[in-house]
Amino acid sequence: MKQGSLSRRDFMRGALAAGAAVGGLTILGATSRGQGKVLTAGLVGCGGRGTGAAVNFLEAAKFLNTEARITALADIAREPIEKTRTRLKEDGCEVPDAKCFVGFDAYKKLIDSGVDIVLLATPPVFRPAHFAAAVAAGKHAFIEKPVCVDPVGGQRVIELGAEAAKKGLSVVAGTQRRHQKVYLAGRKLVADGAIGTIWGGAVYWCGQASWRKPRDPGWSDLEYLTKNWINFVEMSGDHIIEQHVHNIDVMVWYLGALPTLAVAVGGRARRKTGNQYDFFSVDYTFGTLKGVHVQSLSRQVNGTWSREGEELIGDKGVMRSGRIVLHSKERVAPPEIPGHDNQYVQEHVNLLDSILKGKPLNEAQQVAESTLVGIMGRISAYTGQPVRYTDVAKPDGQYGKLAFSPTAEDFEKGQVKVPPDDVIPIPGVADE
Amino acid sequence: MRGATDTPRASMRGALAAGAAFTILGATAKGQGKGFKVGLIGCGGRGGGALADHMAAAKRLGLESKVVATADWFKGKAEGVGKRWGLPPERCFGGGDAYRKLLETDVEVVLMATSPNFRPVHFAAAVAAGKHVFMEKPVCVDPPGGRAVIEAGELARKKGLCVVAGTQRRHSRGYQERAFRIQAGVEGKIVGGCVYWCGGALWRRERAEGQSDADYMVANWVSFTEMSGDHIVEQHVHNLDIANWFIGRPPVTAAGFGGRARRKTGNQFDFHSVDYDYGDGVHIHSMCRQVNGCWGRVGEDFIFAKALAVAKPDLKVPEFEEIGGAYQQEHADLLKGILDEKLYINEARAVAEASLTAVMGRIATYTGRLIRWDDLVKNKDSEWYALTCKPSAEDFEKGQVKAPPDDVVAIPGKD
Repeated sequence: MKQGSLSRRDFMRGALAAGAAVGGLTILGATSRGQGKVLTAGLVGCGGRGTGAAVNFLEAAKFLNTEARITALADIAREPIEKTRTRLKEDGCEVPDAKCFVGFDAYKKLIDSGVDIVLLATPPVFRPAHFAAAVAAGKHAFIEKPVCVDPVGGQRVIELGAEAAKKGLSVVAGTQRRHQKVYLAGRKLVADGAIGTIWGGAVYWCGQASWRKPRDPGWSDLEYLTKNWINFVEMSGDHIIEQHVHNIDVMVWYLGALPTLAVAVGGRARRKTGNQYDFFSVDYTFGTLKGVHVQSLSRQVNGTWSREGEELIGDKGVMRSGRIVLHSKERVAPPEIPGHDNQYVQEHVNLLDSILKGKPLNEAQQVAESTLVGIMGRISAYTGQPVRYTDVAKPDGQYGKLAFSPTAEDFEKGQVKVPPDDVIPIPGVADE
Repeated sequence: MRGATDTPRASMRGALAAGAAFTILGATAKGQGKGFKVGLIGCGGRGGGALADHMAAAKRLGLESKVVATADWFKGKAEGVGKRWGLPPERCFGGGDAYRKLLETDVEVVLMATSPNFRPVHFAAAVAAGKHVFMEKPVCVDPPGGRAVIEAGELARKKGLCVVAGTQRRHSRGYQERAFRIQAGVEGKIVGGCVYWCGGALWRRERAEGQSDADYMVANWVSFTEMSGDHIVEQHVHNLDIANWFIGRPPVTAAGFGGRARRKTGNQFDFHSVDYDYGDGVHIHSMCRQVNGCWGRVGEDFIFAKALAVAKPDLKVPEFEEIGGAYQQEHADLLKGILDEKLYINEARAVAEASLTAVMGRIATYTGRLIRWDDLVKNKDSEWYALTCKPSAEDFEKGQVKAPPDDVVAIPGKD
């Protein structure tokens, strides 16, 4: 660890300050008042990313030299919970049986189990509903990206973020580049004008096929959808948001603006299951930035060219995934960024630190906006129509009321019908 | 371009002067200087239109040009256009070798408007026969074809033969003024941009009962990659040509996506989206689509680094001529080049590079791979260097045509 502002002494001061501030905060549960409080978190969604987030959370607490524990786990099935439990045990964190909740309403039981923080890492279809329950119960939250699959979900997360802010709750999102040193340094340089006025760019997540789980004849629709979630747009939002939202987020973060218009193409070359595309190419226009265009390319097809990252070009230089190269070839020294070297840990460091200091951090709106920007591109590719940001972000926009089914609520009620595999959207109208 | 040949009188002076200075014109043209013998290869809608544009331009320049021969795969089509210009049927040639018969006549200026797969062979034959050429875009469907056009274009230059291409934006006043200012440096440097040809579906011809493979492919050429190069080449080449022209060089690499949403016949995609990297951090996003009921846009957007602009307050933009629209002006510019060696014009390389740029994008979208310019024009070991669409022009001439299956399209990547 590079010593930045978070030396142990500094941190202790911060913690004390946070302790002192607690008198003024009503949002921490009664048990959290006073000093020496152990912050507790519950994990909803015990897949690979969820388990990773829990481990990162524990590591962050260690880094901050504070005590924080994972005290509850929730998932729709028992098996992943056990895997997560075993993994957390390695880090000295034991979750008792009574705090392991199974089922589609497990998140409610977890929220009621006395945790201070919830880590939400289910497939994104569930995020708005789970986040709503967490905010209603006054819990701080870590919300994995993306945070919705449709415009209605995105609008809801923005509203919930505002509500969380009113309650003084911290919300950190899993768009971890915002907590990554190279990106933070690059963002600072770009904001200070290092590459001059930005004229355009391209953002990429072009790679190989993701995993899939072919349907087992014994599975119910519900089981199949949740096991193979990454191949259904109703569950994941399609890969342009499930995966590529990271790069889209960097685009809007660095530009400090949202695109006003998206026109896109996309299709399905080789995906085997589900109803998603496997490639998208979007022309995003930033009307508020004198018509800057950024091209977004995302693909999940084996044997194809790969590139992941972001490139923005300005009149003085180019930004490539946080690194600055000037046209003049002069070198630019990136500013020193304090914190943990692992961005996945650092996001939890920032979450815990903001809670301890009583200075809520709230990333709900920014991650919801980036997800909605991805959704603009997806709708444009699916339909062949241009899509404005307001079309998805405003309830009275053209696609403002678009909501997929099954919804998170349908899953809770057990009313789930799997959409047909291999039926994908076809843009435009048939040629007569 | 405005100058000595602006008025009919000036044109006549130019024509007379040209008659004296040029030896490449056929014997009958020497000293006469009143017009040219014109032939058309490819008598479809565009061919008929190009011929009418050419004759209108000739008339405007005071030339008494004459249509002396037509050629088409289908003799009936050659006769159809020929009739309009008073040609007897024996001057209207049909079949795979019709172009040879046309080139063997006393024709001096040859207009080429067949499907682009034939262009490299026809163009090379025309240059070998010492003809001036107008050739429709695009001019190839594969890398060897593009290189052949560049090579024949160089030979044309050596022989003093003029070559104009149907990328008519290069003959539009607005585009020429823009290019002039960009090349003068007063707009700054192009650092990015988007080029579009997104529109509705084109026409198609269903296969007729008992139709041969060759006849079907020729009739429905705009749906087969082997014939048209796919619509990124056939149509979008216009916009890619602007990018190459304005930036001043072809791209270095292409990475692209494409697919087929609703096309009914043939084996082409109906949309492509390509990230062209021109080097130096300059990316051009190309989007083209032929699907009904979708967003449409045709044009080009460029982003300029204004900070790099050169101040030239005294810059005088020439008054570029555009009379009768760019489709007619391109023929006027061809004729002026033939008449006055100071106005010599040869667009073979530019249009070949634009076509190859589009071919590079198509290979990228068909394969999912990153394609380098050098793979098409320089690296003989590259798997793309010798990539040849079959059936080729030669196969058509030999009568060895097997149509590829309808509806079997390229799938990028692998399982």
